Amino acid sequence: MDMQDKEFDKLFSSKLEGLEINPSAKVWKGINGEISGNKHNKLIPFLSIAASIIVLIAAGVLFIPKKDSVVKLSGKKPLAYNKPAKVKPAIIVKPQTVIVSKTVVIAVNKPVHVYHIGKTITPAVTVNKELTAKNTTPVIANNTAVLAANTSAKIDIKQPAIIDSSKALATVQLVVQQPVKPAVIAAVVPPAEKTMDIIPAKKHKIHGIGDLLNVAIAAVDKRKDKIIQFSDNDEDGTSITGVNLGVIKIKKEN
Amino acid sequence: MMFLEHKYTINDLVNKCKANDRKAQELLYKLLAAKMLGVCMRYATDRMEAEDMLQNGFVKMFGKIQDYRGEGSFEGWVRRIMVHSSIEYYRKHHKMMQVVEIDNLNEPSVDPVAASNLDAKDLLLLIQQLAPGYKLVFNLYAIEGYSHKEIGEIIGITEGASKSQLSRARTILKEQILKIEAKRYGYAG
Repeated sequence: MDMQDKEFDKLFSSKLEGLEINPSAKVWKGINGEISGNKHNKLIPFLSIAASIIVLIAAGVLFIPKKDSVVKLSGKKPLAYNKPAKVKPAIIVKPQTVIVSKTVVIAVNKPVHVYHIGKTITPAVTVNKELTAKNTTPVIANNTAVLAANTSAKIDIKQPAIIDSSKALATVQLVVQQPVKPAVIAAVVPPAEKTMDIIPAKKHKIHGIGDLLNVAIAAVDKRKDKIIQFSDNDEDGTSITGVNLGVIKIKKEN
Repeated sequence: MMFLEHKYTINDLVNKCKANDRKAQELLYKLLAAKMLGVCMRYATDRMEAEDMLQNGFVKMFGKIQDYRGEGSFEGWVRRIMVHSSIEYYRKHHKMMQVVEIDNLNEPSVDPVAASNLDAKDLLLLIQQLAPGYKLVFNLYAIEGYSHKEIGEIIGITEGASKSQLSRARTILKEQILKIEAKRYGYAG
């Protein structure tokens, strides 16, 4: 019985063990497809990880140095010490100057101490003149409606700022009011609310480094959503509010 | 010498396959496909199914080829993958352990000499027609040479169940062989 079973099994194994049957061509096609398909699937997560790392690094690089520079500005207190030489290199002032003009508008009500300021402001304002002359044009190109309003405001106010010592003093007061953040004068945006009124359409205001960068970017990137957009806040400093990489668009409202 | 050279070629191909060389993968496939389809055919009910098993098995094999450390023959390693791929296929597509109860079946006696006249195709067809559970156990025990214990572990049944399924598989096969012989005898007469 046992022998018979073994023999019986052998009958099958001897004839079937070496059995060879050629498969049809579609089998290799299927295998090939699956193998290369797998490779694609393996690549895609790697690519997405790589892409996100790049985005993160880019975001980090853009955020960190800006915060630093804001700190420097506040640390120098350049306006208070009346060092025109230093004011100039702090070109960062560029966008701020525009705002200064805004602040002036609002600040005008209040009479102020003059002494240092008379000196300080003149260089500051002269810088403004140069800068506004250069800057306003691209700025307007960028945010036509918004900045048009600003520029008109500037012209009215700045020039008197130079001429009328009394109004110049007004700006000074702002400095005095917020002595802790002198450099932020630019950002001393009590006018923020009022500018909001003036500029309902868009929130563009040249406020800090971020806005300066916006201007520079706008000169290169003509799309509605720029490759990267910044905004400046009193509290947060400069931050990125929009990224447009073509495929990926991120935009922060506010 | 020829044998050694052949061995070397396979090892060479295996190493290239480990580096994901597509050409080597195709060559390795061509070298082994016919033999492996021969394996899969025994587990399948038809050629279509067998080719599906073959495809799954090769994809699995290429994915695992890094694990092959050159211990034992490569062909044997691939063959085991094909067997497992076939079993896996069954798990997905069949109620594997669907056992057809055959009561009061008389043990037919088959003349081994007469049976040896059957060619591979006939025998293959007989195996393919077995119920899935019988087919698996018979293939694994009689042809692949696994023990009942191993079979129990692979399929997930007890050793005893493996034994009883094997003996029933044999009984059915013998019956079928007798029928074929009877037919032939009938034609001859």
